[in-house]
Amino acid sequence: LQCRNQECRVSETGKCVEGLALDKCPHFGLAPSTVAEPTTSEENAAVAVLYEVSLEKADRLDIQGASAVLRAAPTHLIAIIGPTSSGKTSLIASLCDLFQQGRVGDISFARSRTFFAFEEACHHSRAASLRNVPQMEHTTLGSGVGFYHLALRDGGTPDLVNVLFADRSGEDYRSAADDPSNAASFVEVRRADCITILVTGEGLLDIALRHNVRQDIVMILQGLIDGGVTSLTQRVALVLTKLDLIQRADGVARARAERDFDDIVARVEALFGSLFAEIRSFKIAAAPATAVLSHGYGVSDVLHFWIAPWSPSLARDMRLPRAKRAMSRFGILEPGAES
Amino acid sequence: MDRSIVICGFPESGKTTYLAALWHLITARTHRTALRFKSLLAGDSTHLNGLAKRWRDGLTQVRTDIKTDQLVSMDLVDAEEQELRLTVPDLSGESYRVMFEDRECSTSLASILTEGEGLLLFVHADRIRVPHLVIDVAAQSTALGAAIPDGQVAPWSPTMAPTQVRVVDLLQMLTLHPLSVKYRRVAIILSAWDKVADEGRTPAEFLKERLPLLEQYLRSEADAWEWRVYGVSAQGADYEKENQPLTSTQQAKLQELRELDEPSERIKVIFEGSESSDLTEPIAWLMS
Repeated sequence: LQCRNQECRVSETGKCVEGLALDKCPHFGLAPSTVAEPTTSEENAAVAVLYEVSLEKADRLDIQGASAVLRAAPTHLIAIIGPTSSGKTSLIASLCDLFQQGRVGDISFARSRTFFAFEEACHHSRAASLRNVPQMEHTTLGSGVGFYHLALRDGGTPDLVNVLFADRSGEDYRSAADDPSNAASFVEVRRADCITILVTGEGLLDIALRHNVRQDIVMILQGLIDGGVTSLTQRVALVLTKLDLIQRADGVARARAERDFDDIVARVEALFGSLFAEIRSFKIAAAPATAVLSHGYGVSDVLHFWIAPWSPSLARDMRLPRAKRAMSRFGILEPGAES
Repeated sequence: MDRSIVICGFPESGKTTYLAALWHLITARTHRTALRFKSLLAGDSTHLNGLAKRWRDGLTQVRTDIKTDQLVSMDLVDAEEQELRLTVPDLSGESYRVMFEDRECSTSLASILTEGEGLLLFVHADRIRVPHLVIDVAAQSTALGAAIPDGQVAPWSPTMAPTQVRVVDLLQMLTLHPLSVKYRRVAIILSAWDKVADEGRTPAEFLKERLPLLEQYLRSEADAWEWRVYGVSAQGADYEKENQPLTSTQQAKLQELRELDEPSERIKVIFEGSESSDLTEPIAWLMS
């Protein structure tokens, strides 16, 4: 059910917004119009005069906008990293969707400066997109980094928890594996409290792709480390996405994909465990394409990890950073820490 | 003493109907109210009288035009016998739609919003837009034998935003530059309450279940709003609308209302389990 009139909610209510019988409505059944009605030059002039106060935008924040949030209050910055189609947009969108249904565990929504960005991210998993399967738009190569903002209230703490989610094209991040100097511009990774690496379940199910999926994760992390944008205080979340596809796969493929993910986690722990404060793994289905798992499955666990109170003194195996990266880590070592 | 509040809400959220019923209620003086009518000396009452007449006749209010926004004034007396002149804007919901979707407003609206002492925020309880997932709609369509065709994609636009996102964003916008309003009291008016009353929820329960993002936002105190939520039925039934005949059931319900000897009996205000006809109560709270 669709209607050319964007104000009409016939797809939800079954009723015409104009109160007409559906077979009488001239707009019913047509794709929603995105073209503005033609206006005369006089009307345009009147509109231009009418609205002269600009209000706060609600799109993705750029670096200046994110910096303002960081300066205003303590903020968790989450860098979400993954190859193209690994589910970054789905994960970010699912946060907005979940809070629109209620609290996420003991975490409640408090504020967002980027509602338009979240809503746009959600769009392609919603019926209003007219799609017949959920699909996410990808962040395009070279479009730089953008940030989504949420302020949350964690049940047990009196202060609001500000969170910024950094979004950059998967190809940008992959370029660090080709040349670690490319990572120098990844300011969001350098500042991140948690680096979240997405491993696509769909890729692990593909017998031809699975080896590259596994190796990509290792190489991207290696590129970031060699590029000097990671630190010992950062935590890492390894997130298996599109779990619904794995759950509905046949037994052999499913077991192999799960084994592959376990192998990735083990390799990252073995290779890079001493270079981060903590490495944790998660499995999610942020925007399932099937009914096997609920919308946003597993996202609550990742969110709790992201905003958990964290002190560098909790870091395991704390070591001094290499001198060339010292500027990005000032003030993080506790007195008495190994030197 | 001059006092003013802001009435806010997206198109067809019940703002003008509330004003119409309010003007009838206080001028009829048949029911006890927190704020009472004093005189007609506040200014020209043509607009308010016109609204109240349509309301008494059982006719739907004409949609407020963005070019004919009105400021209306009422001379009232409060519970302490203090006289006050209440100024209320009857603004088109279109103004708020533009604020949300286009991120801009007129200087006159900005001035009205910042000079108020509190906010009456209207949400039509029976027209809450909730997003539906592709996966759910596709499953329903397939079950009905009418699968959604491939290849269709509608681009995103702010017009598609769910009701609670729009409302939360509007409240946030009021607290941010350049508006930065000083007041922090908001009365959430869930209008057309008669349409959802059968669901058996209190307005607070309704807010939590049907508008959970808004409830979380208010409860978080992120922007320090002091808030109340009211269920308000200012009409009591569907009113007649030009070129849109009512069904026989709607017609019968409207006839019942018209048969009431006192039109104020049509009004129901629900707050924390108590019921009255006092549409001035939320306003009195905002100004207290």
